Amino acid sequence: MANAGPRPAPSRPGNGEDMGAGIGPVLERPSRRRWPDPSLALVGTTFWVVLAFIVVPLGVLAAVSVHPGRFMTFPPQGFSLRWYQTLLTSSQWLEAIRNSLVVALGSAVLATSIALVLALVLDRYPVRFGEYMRRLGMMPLFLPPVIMGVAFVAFFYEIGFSGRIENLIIAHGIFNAPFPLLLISSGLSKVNRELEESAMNLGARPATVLRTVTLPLIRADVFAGVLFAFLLSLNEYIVAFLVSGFTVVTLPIEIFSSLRYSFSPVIAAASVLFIAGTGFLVWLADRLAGGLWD
Amino acid sequence: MAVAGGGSRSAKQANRLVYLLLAYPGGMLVVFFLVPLIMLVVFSVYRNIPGGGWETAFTWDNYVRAFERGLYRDRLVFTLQLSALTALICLAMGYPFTYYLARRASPLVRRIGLAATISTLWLTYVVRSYAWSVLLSSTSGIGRLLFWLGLTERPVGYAPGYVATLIGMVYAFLPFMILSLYGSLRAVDPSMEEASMNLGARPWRTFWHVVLPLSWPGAASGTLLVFLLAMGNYVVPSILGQPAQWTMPVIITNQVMYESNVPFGAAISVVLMAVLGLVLFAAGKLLGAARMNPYPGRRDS
Repeated sequence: MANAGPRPAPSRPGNGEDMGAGIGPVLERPSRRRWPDPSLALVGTTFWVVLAFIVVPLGVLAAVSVHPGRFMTFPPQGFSLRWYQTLLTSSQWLEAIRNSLVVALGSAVLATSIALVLALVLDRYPVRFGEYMRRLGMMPLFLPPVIMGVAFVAFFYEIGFSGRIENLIIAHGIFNAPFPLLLISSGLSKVNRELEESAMNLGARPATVLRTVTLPLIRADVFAGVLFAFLLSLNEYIVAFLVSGFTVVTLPIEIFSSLRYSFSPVIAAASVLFIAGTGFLVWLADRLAGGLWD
Repeated sequence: MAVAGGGSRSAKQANRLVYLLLAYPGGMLVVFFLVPLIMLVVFSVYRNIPGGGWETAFTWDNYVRAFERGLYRDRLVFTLQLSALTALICLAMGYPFTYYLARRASPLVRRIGLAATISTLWLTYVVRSYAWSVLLSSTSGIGRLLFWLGLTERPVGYAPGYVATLIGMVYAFLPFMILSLYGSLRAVDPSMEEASMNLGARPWRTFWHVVLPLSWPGAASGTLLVFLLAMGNYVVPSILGQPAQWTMPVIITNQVMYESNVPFGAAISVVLMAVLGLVLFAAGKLLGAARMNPYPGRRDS
């Protein structure tokens, strides 16, 4: 009955699935005609130069990674996948990959579980204590990771529990919680309350409503939250480095420390795997959350 | 609220349930976030025992050392300068890029530009800095290209060094600037531009008086974001810089990891946090006026 909940906004511009729809044609007609060509050409050139600045370094890494020699050179002399083979057969690199995956998965589940419970409870019962918790949960976003890392070091030292993989999972779980928290809260705010109310009116218990109505409606946001937390953990260096205290080596830590001692193309191969994995996860998360950036 | 419903007794039960449910996220956040932050401050007044370890104490020595030694003041000033320069370069590069991306590019180009921006945004700083250390090394990349073109006598390496650090910083944080600008540039209503031009304003005037003012909040928040991220970054200056380019996070990490001086590392972390707090506070005051939404429908970034 009481329909205080926010309704889905009626077609906000630029929020839809088609990026160009709505504004595109109107935007382009006057500009093409009236904007003087030289300055538009300048802006257009800048665009392509900056785009090259963003993309080229990663392309160079990919090129270096297939160079057959012991030392990196560009352009590569020949083509070989031997560095990828080295990467995937070296126990050191495999250990780092395994640790990274364990930490990323564990911390993603931890971060999302914290975020999901907090967001669900606050969505229904906005109690003050919970609001403080939400603010606390968002704080890692504003704190430099190096400072959080030192805080975790001090904490784990003080309780005499340092240098374990669990510490990394906890640290990343807390550090990355803001992202699932944002995604799930925004997903919940778009849920049509009337659906839940109808289920209640038809006699469903709150737990049943949650399981059969609310959770299915926000499933994509929850998955996107897990993916983002996973992605962030996989790519995070400094908190992991500080908390691990040289005992647990993740993939970014392994790449970083290999850089100190060698300049082997294996590092480039590891980086390319990283780029591919990250690109895929970003694409997946974007698909799940239905166009996060437009 | 509607779901809670029912009489006062079930409301009371529901209330108890709420706190029970909140115990999990609340407990985790208090124990593993709030307490560590408090421990950071507590550690900063502990006394370090040279050669590893520390003792519980209440001493200002760590702070005195942080302020007395010219080294740490220098590093702080350097970090502030490098971050400010990074933020300005990101704005200078990001604004025309994002203007074109958001308002001029065809849907396909926009898709490509956004995909490139977003997928590098999440990529670890380690790989992104490493890419530039390859590009700026003497064996591959730009130095070799210049040599091959006959512009230099021998292949020159530019990394590690100041220029490499600055390029790496810009490369690391440009995507954040682009995404901050994107929302506000995309939201400027084209009919406003059209109206301005129909009233006879030249395109540059239209840009200067219509688009630029409306996109100012995105530019301001992007610049602030990049500045703060740059202040806190460890990876870029430690891969692409020499000791002369080390920023506060590098100094902090070296103290904690290689000098085993956690109390001093904690003290300079607290100093850095205080400086960042001041910057945020000042920026909040400064941008206070701009935060009034000049145009309804604009997406906050």
